[in-house]
Amino acid sequence: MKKILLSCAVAGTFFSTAYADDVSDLKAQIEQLTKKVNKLEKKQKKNTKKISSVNKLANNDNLKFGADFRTAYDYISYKHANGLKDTNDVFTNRLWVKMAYAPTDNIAFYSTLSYYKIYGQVASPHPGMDQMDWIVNGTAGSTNNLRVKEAYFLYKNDTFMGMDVPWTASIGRRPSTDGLLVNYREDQKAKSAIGHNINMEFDGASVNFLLENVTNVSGMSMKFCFGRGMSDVNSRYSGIDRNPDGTYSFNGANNYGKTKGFSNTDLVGVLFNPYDDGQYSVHTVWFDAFNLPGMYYAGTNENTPYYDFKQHGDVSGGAISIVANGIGDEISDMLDDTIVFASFAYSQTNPDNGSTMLGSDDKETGTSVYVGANWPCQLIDEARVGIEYNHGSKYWRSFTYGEDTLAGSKLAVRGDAYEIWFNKDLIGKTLTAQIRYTYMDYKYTGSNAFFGDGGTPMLMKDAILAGLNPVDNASDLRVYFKYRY
Amino acid sequence: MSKFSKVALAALLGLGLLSTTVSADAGKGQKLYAKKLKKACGMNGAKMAAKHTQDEWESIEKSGKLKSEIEHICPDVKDKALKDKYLEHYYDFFYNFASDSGNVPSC
Repeated sequence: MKKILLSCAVAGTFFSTAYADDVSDLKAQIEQLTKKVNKLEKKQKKNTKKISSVNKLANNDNLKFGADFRTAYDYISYKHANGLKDTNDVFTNRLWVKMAYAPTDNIAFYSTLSYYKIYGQVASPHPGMDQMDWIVNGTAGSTNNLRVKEAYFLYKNDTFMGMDVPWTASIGRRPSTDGLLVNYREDQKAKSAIGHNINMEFDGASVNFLLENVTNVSGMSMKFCFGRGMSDVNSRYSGIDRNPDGTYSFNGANNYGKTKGFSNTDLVGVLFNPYDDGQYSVHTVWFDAFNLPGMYYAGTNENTPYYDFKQHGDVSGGAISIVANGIGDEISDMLDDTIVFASFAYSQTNPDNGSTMLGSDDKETGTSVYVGANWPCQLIDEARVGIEYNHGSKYWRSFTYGEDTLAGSKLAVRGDAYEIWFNKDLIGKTLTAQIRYTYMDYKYTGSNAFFGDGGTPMLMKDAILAGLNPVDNASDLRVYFKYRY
Repeated sequence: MSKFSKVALAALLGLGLLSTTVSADAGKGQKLYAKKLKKACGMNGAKMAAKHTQDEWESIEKSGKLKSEIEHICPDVKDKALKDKYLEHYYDFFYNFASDSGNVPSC
């Protein structure tokens, strides 16, 4: 009996000791967990306070900003028909302040403010055509004004009138520069237009329909565009003239009334992409532009000709462009990342009765071919090399006044243009650099002119015989550094 | 070309050849998505990226489940579209345009 009792007492002591150890372990764990929970609660309170102050800062901020800042050096060279050479070094700064916001899934706003200026003060400012709305943000100027390059809202919906056709509609200042094909040399995503024949700024609207779901053709889409390049509208107080002696007089013009002798310069167009599977794509455009302006010979003053700015007709045009974004399917990494493109474009003038365009009273057709390829550089990491060539015929007229080639639009060339470029990512796409060489060999005059007499195509030898000294060839060596985020 | 310009040009060219840091490029991912995944997934890249928040995409990527998540969303996707060398770029793109990224896809 004593032995049993003793055994029971020992067992009881053992178990109560073990139980006490377990309890004490549990207590320790609970204490630790309690400390952790207290810590987390304190952190939670802190985070809630932080989130509230962030909300206060962000409240009513309805735009996301991005910056694209580029500083560039261009060595420009012009060789005139008489052999005279004119060269220059040009340093420029370009700043794009990008803004965007999508308050709902159906609507987004996009805008870009732009400043593109030659370094420092320009020795002899010549304000006028360099401020033209078509080119003022796309080419370097002499003022440090910050202008609106793009500003538009975009509405989108997944169905159109009950059909499985996603569509978008947009109004405002258009993303009509640096379009498809020219975006590669600019190291940018392609904007709306086909850059072969349209690369200039204007205001207008577009409606785009994605037809893939109803046609079962990969990437098929159709976009209708409307743009106004010049408004037949008087500016405010244009009824007041300043006389040479400093006095004023009234000319009867109404604020925002019609401008005598002018009509609106409008463009309507259709962009039809019949196929796009992400690798191979076909893009087409057709447009008609009305009441296009140009310089028309008005007389001679002390042996120097002078010109009037007039509108005397329309131009229609189109392009078909094919892009291969990758050659074959995983033949090699390099071919997977090689882009090849070919494009054919045409333009046709339609002068008003009794008037001329590009020096002719007939409808004149011009054509242009543009080909190029770019691929990952095999010698230097994170770099791409590109080569491009284009040829324009006698009456070729592009709308590429906004192309960012200081020596003149290469795609406007009536002759041949050659280009090689090297783009390098220094810190990803945040800091990049480019070296680019463009050579333009003009066969005819008037490549960069508007639609009047200034755009008349003459062979170089005929121009010399007529007492002119046009540019025979031009080149532009560019080096830039660009920051964007 | 003036002396100043030659020196500046040489400096610029020298800087251009410096070794660089490789960093994420959502644009590459967007291009790859259009080529390799868009048809199989039946939606554009923006819609695909918006399937998850940034935290969710990050968590999927860190747990090594990006490939299986894409296969789950896009059952028709081919194996060769999900090679390891592509996944990093898909992730960069999805993360940048996730439902709570605030980034606005280009039109």
